Amino acid sequence: MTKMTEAEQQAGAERAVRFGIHRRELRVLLAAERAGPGLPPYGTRVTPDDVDFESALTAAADFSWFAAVRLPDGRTARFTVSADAPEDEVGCEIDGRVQECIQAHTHLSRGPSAPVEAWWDWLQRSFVALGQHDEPWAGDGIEAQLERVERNIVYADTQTSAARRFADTGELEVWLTGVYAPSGLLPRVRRLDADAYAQSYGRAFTAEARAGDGPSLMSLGVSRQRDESEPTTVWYASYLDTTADPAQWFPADARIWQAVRIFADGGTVEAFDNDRCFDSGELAPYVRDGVAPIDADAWLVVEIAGVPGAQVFPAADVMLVAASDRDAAEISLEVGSIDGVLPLFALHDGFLRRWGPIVDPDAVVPEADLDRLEARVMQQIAETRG
Amino acid sequence: MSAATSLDGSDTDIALDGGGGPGCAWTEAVCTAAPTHFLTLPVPGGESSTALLCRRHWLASLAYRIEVTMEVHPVAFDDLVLDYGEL
Repeated sequence: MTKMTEAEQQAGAERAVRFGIHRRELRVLLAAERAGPGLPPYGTRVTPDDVDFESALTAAADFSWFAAVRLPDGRTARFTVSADAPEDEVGCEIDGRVQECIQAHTHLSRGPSAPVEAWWDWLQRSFVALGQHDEPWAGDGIEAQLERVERNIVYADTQTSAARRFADTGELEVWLTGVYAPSGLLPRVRRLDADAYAQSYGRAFTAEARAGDGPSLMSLGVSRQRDESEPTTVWYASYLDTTADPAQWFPADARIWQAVRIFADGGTVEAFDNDRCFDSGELAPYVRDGVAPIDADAWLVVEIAGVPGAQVFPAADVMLVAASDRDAAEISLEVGSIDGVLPLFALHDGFLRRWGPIVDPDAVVPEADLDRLEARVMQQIAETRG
Repeated sequence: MSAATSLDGSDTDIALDGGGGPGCAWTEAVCTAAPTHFLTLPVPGGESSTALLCRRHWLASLAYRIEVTMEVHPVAFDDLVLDYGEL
């Protein structure tokens, strides 16, 4: 056996310290889940009982990993210690392969190291098994569609993502196209040439230009109802200013800030509301054709064929919510700041963790449980009235 | 974003159109149970609409308004739900 260098000995000592700290962190986390208040994602098949602390004591003599998790698919995850990772972060390997910790909702990767609770959350979310539905109304087939019409049931799909999760405009366009496919409506995603735009339009953002009639792209709300032949336009007192800090694009307390909602029939736009968009024609000279990278500086332009106006936003901190509803007769794209929207999703997630069995169509709920819940809800209502 | 944005936060689900089907008006999954309870909700323009639900989804609808909607919007319960009860 070769002798360890001093640096190796030091790294080993550092791992030994972290080994102990992270084991405690994980034990506390699991204890909170066993006893409450920590609630797992409803339907997860990864539980505290699947965590094995013992084998690390014998097998990880070099303190390279501190706990193992038996996964429902038969593989084994190990939480790993690295002296290189930030102090409060650990790694995760599944059958020896280094994993990336993916955040809920944004689908952004935290990379190969993250706090142990983020990994535990990721593992639990990765193995949620809810009932597979094979009812006659599910699916894309004609019979399923007819069954839905008869029963007054519609197909709905909502997807969320951070804009910067996609490497380029092509990837984002593919994602949107997938959500909107049943509607027959085609999204187009391109990148704004923000520098060229700022150079020719920059003077529009001086106080003088705003007071006068200098060229500028004003934020618009363009909408058309089913019974109207021409769209209605409203102007907002805000301009497209790509020189401003992208973090200031959304007002501080805004959740969903801009949105386009479209009603369509067989690929034909019947009505729409494109709120806080910009005039496509005015933008045209500054929009790059073809696929362009989405990096921290990118400003994106999203248009949907048949609808006037373009949604424009900085890619850096943006959350996208793309939805198809009413059997794809209605599609929408909502754009908000990640920091503004995530707390909303967290509330939503918390509700589902608490109310999972009630909203799960496959769960049988005894009347006695409903009696107990009804008493609780009535008490909550009374408490809201102070 | 409305409180009705898909309850599972992502992925595909099948939703009932609350407008006029004979079953429970729950929109986050198909529920064919007979309605036993009601919720009267405000709609923009000063009108109101009444949704008929099974007891289970009536409870979930009330709880969602208290635990999510009221946390997001500063609104009183009685302005959010005009009336509720058993049919």
